Amino acid sequence: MTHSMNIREIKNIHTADEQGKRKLQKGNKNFYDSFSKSMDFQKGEELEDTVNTEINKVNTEINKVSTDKDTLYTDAAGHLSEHQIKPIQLAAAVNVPLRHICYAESDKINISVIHGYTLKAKRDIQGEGNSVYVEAKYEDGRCEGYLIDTKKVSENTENAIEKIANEVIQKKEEF
Amino acid sequence: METSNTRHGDENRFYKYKDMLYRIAFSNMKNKADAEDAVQEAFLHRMRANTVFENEEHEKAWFIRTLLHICIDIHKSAWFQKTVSIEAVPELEIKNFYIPYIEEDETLFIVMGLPVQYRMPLYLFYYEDCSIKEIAHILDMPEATVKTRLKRGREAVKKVIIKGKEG
Repeated sequence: MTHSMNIREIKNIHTADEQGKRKLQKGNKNFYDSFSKSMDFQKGEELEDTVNTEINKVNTEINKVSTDKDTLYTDAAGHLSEHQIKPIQLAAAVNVPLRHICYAESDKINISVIHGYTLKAKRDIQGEGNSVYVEAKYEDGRCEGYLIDTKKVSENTENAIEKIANEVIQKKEEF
Repeated sequence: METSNTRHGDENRFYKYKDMLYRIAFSNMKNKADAEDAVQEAFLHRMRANTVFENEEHEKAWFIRTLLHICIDIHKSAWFQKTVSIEAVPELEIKNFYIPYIEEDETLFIVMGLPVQYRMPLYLFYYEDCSIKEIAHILDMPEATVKTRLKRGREAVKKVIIKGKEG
């Protein structure tokens, strides 16, 4: 048995369709509004986060540049504050490329498990005889090479790197 | 048939690595006799294996890794299972261990008394001058894990020292 729709039924369907469309459009508009609002908010937040991160990065870099050399140098003498080291280290130590010397080649070795570093020192034959090459290896994987001019180092220095450099020179003089 | 070249190669290798391998074996076995057995076994493994190494570092890493496996096997053996396990190095054995290039060190035997997961990274890093990359290769673990173990091991050493001072 077939059922044919009369005009009223057809009109009703049309009306329902239009109502549905309108509802949908309204719903879409509401959704779009709230969505765009939240997106704007999120974008704002993200933008703010990104800006903050960038600012922090720049600040860190600035701090790093100013303190990097000092920090690396003071790592080996962790108990000393930076200002105690600065006046001596700027004059006495120079950062040099790593020479990768082994324990057997070194004139003196200082192992500090508690402070997380090892120091290998060898008298620098290229210099005037007062220079000592010191290689520091830190627990976090960093390795640094320093050339210490022992003439500029105080005899009573408390800095581990300068101390080992002095000891190497003293040891050579004893021989 | 063994040629004189291979014999010379083995001899050279023996003199080059024997001390380092003995020290590493001792740090695991805590006594001279077992350490020597482990080293001997490692050289036998090397002579039996026809491995060609890319470079010296590769060979060194192979030796250490093989030795550590031998030490683990000895620890698992019936004899070791039945005897009392020793964490610290016995006083009588201390004289059988020394590192020629280190004049004085207070922490060496504390490191040797640590659990194996901290002992090996610390010992290789500080006393055998291995880099973090080398240790990661030898112990077959990521570099980040090696760094973490070094840090935690150092904290463990500190704790032992503080305990010793208090007690």
